[in-house]
Amino acid sequence: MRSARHLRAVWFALLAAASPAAAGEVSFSASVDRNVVGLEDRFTLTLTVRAPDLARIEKLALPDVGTLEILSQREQTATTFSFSGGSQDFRRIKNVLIVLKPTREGATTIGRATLRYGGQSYTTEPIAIQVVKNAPRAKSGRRAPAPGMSPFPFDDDFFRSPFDDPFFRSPLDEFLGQQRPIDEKDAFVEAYVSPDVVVQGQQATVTVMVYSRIDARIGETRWPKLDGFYAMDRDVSGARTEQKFIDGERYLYKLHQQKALFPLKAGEIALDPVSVEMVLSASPFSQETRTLKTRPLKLKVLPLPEAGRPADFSEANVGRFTLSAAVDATQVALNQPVTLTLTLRGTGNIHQARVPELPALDKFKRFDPAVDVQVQKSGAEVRGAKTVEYVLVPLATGELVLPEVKFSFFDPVDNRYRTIQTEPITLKVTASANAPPGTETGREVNLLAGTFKPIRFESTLSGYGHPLYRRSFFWPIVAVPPALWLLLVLGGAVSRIARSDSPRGRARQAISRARAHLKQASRHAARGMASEFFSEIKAALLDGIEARLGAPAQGMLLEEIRRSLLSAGADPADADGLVHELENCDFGRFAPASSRGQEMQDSLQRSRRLLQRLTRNAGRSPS
Amino acid sequence: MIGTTLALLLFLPAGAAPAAAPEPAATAAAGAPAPAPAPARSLDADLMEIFQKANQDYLAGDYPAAIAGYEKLLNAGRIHPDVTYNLANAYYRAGRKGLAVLFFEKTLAMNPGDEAARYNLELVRKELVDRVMPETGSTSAEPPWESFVRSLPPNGLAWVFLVLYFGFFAVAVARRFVRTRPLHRLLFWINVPVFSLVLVAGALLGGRMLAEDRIHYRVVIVPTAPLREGPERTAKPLMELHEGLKVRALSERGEFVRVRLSNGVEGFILQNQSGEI
Repeated sequence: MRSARHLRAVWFALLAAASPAAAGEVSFSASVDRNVVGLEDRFTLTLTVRAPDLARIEKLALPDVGTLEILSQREQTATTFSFSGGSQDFRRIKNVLIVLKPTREGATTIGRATLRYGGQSYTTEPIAIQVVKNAPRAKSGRRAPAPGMSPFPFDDDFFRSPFDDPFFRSPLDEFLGQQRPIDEKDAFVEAYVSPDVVVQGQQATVTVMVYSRIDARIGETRWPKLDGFYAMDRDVSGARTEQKFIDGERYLYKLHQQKALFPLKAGEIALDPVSVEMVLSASPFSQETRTLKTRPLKLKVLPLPEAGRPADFSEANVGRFTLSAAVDATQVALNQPVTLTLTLRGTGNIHQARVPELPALDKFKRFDPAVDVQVQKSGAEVRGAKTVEYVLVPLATGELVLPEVKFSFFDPVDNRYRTIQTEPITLKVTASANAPPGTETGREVNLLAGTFKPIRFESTLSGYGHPLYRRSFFWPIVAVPPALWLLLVLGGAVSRIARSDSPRGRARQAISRARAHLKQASRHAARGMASEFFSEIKAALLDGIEARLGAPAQGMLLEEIRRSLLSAGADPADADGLVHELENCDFGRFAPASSRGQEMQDSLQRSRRLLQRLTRNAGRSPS
Repeated sequence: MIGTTLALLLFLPAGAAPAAAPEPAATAAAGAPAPAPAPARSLDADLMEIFQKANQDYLAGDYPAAIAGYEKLLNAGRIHPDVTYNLANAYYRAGRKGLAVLFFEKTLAMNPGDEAARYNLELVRKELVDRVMPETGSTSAEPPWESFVRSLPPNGLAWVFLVLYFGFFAVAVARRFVRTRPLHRLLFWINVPVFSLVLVAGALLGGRMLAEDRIHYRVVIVPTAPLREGPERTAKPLMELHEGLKVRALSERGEFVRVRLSNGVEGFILQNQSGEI
C-alpha cells in the first residue's frame, strides 16, 4: 500500500515538475507557504533549484531571515523529464525546505538567497513577511507540495519537522534518495578525552560521539586495551540525538559511549582508536557496514606530588571526599553490639578508595567490617559512597571513646593533599543488668552481619548426590500410575464386553432398555399422548419378558409368552397380568380416543410392578 | 490442605527427604547385624576423618591443607553441599575468590535454600574486581523463570510433584469404584485443583530439568582471563574478565568455551580459566 503510494508520488512528481524550460536552463527561486504568520506559527521557506545537473552546484547560500528563527532545514531532490518537439529533457530539482518561526511581531523580510552554478550566480527575490499576534488559521488541509515534488496528498507526517524526530526521513526522501556511494563524510565518529592532563588516579573521561548525515545504525563498539587504567563505563542511555550543521551540512549526532579512566601510573599515554561498527544507508537500495575509528587520543598523566604527601596516603585516594562516622546507639549495655558506620562520599575512584582501618580498640571486640559501595551510574563524573560497617561489642562499662578516623587524599582541583577526620564518638556502656532506659538490651543483632558465615563442622556427608528426578527409579515410578489407570480402564472395558455376551449381561441390557421405555412412557403420559404411551409400555414389557426368558419376546403370540413365562418359573398371576397388560396396550394404541390420563397412570403403575416382580432375579429392577 | 501440603513439601529442606533414609553408619550403631556394610562404614569413617581434619586445618589458618582435604572428599565422590561450602570458605580465606564463588555457586545449585552460602557469596561478590561492569551488580544473565526454578529445592520439588501426581491418580481410581453420586462428584471436584497443581509442579520440574540440561554457567577462576573474539589464542581480546565473574557457557570449541556476559557480550575464554558450576 505504502509502496504504491510512493510510486504514485514519484509519477506525480515527475509530471508536476515537467516544465517548458529549455534544456540546460537553470532556475533558482524562493517561496513561502504563507506571507502572514502568527507569532506562534511555523512556516516553510522553500528554495528551489532546477538544473540539468545538481552536482554542478558550487554554492547555495541561505538568505538572511531577519528576525525569523530557523528551526530546521532539509533537502529534497527529484528527477523530472518533459517532452518537447519529440525529444525528452531530463532535469533535476533540488528543494531546500527551511522551517522558520517568527520571534517578534511586525514586518520582516527574507533576503536574497544566492546560488552559484556552473560559474554563474543566481539570486532569489526578497520575500516580505508580516508577523501578527494571531494569524488567521490556515485552511485545513494539506500544505502545497514543494516545487517539483508530488502534489499527491501524502500523510501529514510527510511534512513533519525533523525536530519532531531526529531520525525522520520522509518517504519521498527515502525513495528519491540519491543513489550514490557512501563517502567518509556521511558518517564519522569522534572521541575526546577530558581533561587531557590529569594526575595519577584522577578521572579522565573518554567520550565517543557518533555523527551521521544519512541513515545509520550503530553496531558493535570496540575499545582498545585499557591497561594502566581502572576503567568504568558510564551510563549514557539517556543521551539524545541532536543535530548540528557542519560545513553547511546537517548532521545528527549522539553521545555514544563514555568511560571514566583512572590512570594507575604517570606518563604520556596514547590511547588507540575506538572502533564503532555502523550500518550506513544512503538510500533504501544500498546499505553498507563500515567500521569507523576515532582518532588516537593522548593523555598526559602527571605523577602525584611528593611534597606534602601524608604518611597514610594511598595512591587510590584521589578525588574530593568527605568522611563521616556514626553509631546506631550511643548508650548500650555491656556485651551488646553497636554498629559503627564510616561513610566515605565524594567524586573519584570510590571503588578503589581505601577507607582507613579503625585503630586498635582495647575495650571492644571487633568483627570484620562489611563494605558496601554505591556509585552513580550516570553522569560523566564518577560519584558515590563507600560505607564500612563495623560491629563492635563493648567489653567494659563506662564511657568508652571511639577515636577519630583520619583519611588522606589528593585533591586534584586544589592540587594538594588533604587530610580529613571524623569526630570521636563517646559511648555510654552500662552493665547488662542496669541497662539505661530505652536501651534495647534484647535487640536482634546479627553479630556476624558483614562477616563470613563460619564453616560447618557437623555433617553427615551423605544424602546428596543426584536429585531425585535424576535417579534411575524416578521416571519408572512416574509411569506406574498412568499404566495402572490404563489397565483399569482396559480391564473395565473388557469386562463390560464379556458381560454383555452372557445371559445375565443380555438380561441387564434388556432391563436397562425397559427402564428407558418406562421413563419415556411416563413423559408421554404427562403430555396425554396415549398412542405413544402404550407403545412405550408395550416395548418395556417385552424387554422385561426378554430379560426373564433370556430370549427376545418380539413376535411371540400372547399365549406363547404366557407359556414361556410359566415355564421360566414366573408366577402365574404375573404371567396373566403381563398378557393382560399387553392386550391393554394394543387396545390403548389402537383406540386412543377412549384412553384417559388416569388410565395411563394406572397402566404405568401396573407395568412397573409387573416388571419389578418379573425381573427380580434377572438383574436390577426397573424403577 | 493440598495447598498446605504443597507449601510444606516445596519448602522442605532439600536434604530432608534423603536424610530420612537410614544411613549405614546409623544401622551399625544400632547394633543391627550388618556383615556387608563393614568396609563401607570404614570408608565413611575415613571420609569423615578427612572432613574433620580439613575443618581443623581451616580453624588453624592452614587454608591450603584445608582445601586439599575438602577436595579429597570431592574426588572421592562425596559431593555434598557442606563440603563445597567449606571449600568455598577456605578458598576465600586463601585469597582465591574466583574459586570461592565457583564453590558457593555449586553449593547453591545443590541446595538453593542454603542461606549461609548465599550470604557468603554476596560478600565475596562485593569484593570482586570487574573492570567491565563494575556497577551492574548482576553477574549472571539468568532470565527470571530460570532464576525462579533454580531457586526451588530440587528434591523438594520432585517430592511435591510425586505426591500430587500419585494423589491425583489415587483419587481418580477411587472415583471409579465409588457408586454414590455425591461422593463421585466430590472426588471429581477434589481432583480438579489437584490436577492443576500437578501441572504446575510438573512444569516447574520440567523447567528446572531444562535449565540444568540446557543452560550452563561458568565462573572465571583466574585473576584475569581475556575474552577473545575467536577460539584461538591469537584471536583479538575483546576485554578482560576478572575472577569470580559468572558467565553463561554457550558451547565448547577445543580448549575454548564460548561465553555470554550479562550485558550480552559474547566471546571465547580458555576452559581452564573458568570452572563449570
